[in-house]
Amino acid sequence: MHGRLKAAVLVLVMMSGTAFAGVEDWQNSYRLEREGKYADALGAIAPVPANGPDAELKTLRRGWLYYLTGSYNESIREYRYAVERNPHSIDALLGETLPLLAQKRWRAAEQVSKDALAISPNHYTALLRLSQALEGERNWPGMEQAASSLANHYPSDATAFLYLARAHAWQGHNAEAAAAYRAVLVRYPDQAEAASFLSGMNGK
Amino acid sequence: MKMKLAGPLLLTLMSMGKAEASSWLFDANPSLTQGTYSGSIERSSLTDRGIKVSASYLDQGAITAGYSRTLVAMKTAPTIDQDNWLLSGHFNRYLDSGHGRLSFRLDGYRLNNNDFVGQTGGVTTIAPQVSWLSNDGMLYADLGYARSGYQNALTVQQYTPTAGFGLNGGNDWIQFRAFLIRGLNPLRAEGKSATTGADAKWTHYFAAGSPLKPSSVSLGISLGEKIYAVDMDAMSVANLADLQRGGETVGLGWKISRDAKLFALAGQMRYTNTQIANDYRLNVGYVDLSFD
Repeated sequence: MHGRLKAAVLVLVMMSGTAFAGVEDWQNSYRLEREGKYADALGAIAPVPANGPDAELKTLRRGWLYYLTGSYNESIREYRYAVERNPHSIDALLGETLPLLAQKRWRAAEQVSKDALAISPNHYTALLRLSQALEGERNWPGMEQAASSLANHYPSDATAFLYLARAHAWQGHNAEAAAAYRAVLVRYPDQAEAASFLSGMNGK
Repeated sequence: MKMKLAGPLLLTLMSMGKAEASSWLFDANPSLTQGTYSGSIERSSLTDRGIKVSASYLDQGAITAGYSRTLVAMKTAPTIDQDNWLLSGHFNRYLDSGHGRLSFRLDGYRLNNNDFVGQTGGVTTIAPQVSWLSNDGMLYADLGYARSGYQNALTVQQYTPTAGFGLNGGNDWIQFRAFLIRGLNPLRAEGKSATTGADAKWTHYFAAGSPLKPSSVSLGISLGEKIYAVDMDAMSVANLADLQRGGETVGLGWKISRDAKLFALAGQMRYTNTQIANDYRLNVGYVDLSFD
């Protein structure tokens, strides 16, 4: 009887070991990221199997950590790989927009943001990244449209109105820009850009 | 008898037609150049009509094909009639850590005309260029090279280092480009075996305003001497020109609607034909309508 109990305990211990296998690698990676040691955080998840249950997460995290290290091309490659593995992954698409925006590859960032919106229309981050890409392209009407959609779907968000205000300002729509900047200040009273624009308008 | 078209002064009168299909953008740009010579013993006017078609894929690269027909009306000789063919491609490589963008470009030009002496026709030019743009778009540099093969054993080589930078938060842009042209045959190049020239250009971008308010103004100045120059911005080869000794341009741009822009330019280039001791000018008015 005693021997059977020991065997059962041993099986439980082995099972728990299996269940928690690799968790420590992830914990180390997150800790190292918090400490700003991004390359080490990448190394910490190197043992995670490429075909195991965490493979997709590993790819996404590698994309993120490469982005943090400034290795934008590697980051894009990882996120692209993640998209190929899972074309429904909004995470991967939004992740890819980060290095693309960092490299000022505006048209590519626009396209990937639209890919994310095709999966999830009106997604906040996708609309925001689209607005940023269109701002980089100096496509003010397009930016106005994206930011307007953002403000419409997220009416409490100051950032949405900030991008809308910029789009109007670049087009010389001063009244609309002033209204949008005012909306920013109502939601975020210390926003410097909005305050500067409105004080300039008042000075005229 | 040698004639020359002011390559940098191609005038795009109308730019039209842009189709957008997913990641590709397609553009078609018909163009018109019109100029008159003052003080020239030989030349009267020039006209260039052409079209360029380009396709670009996201931010990765583009390919452009073009054709134009140039006519240089002479005072006592038959009009020079020239066909200009162009094929240009480039691709971009983005550097990590925000260190900017490298672009690798290769242009090919082929020029055929009715020059019966064969000195200016049958020209083939190959022009590679490597350029770098900083991530914030405030610094630019390129190094261009062009090798032009003319009939009767003349090969002209050109080196064009360029530097540009932004000021005032990018609202102003200043660019310098040197033209170091070597391998000239003095008998066919106004006595020159080499020329050195430089172009400088300042552009100011205005904040948006009424449709009548210009969106940009630019001033250009050309210094030194150039002959047989290849201008990779204008995508032209000056195979018909005499020795260029300076010039000035002023341009104004307007954004006239959501998708349309208008650009107007006035310019004057000074030339010398030493064989007949003739200094003269080319006066150009320019208008360019383009759709984004």
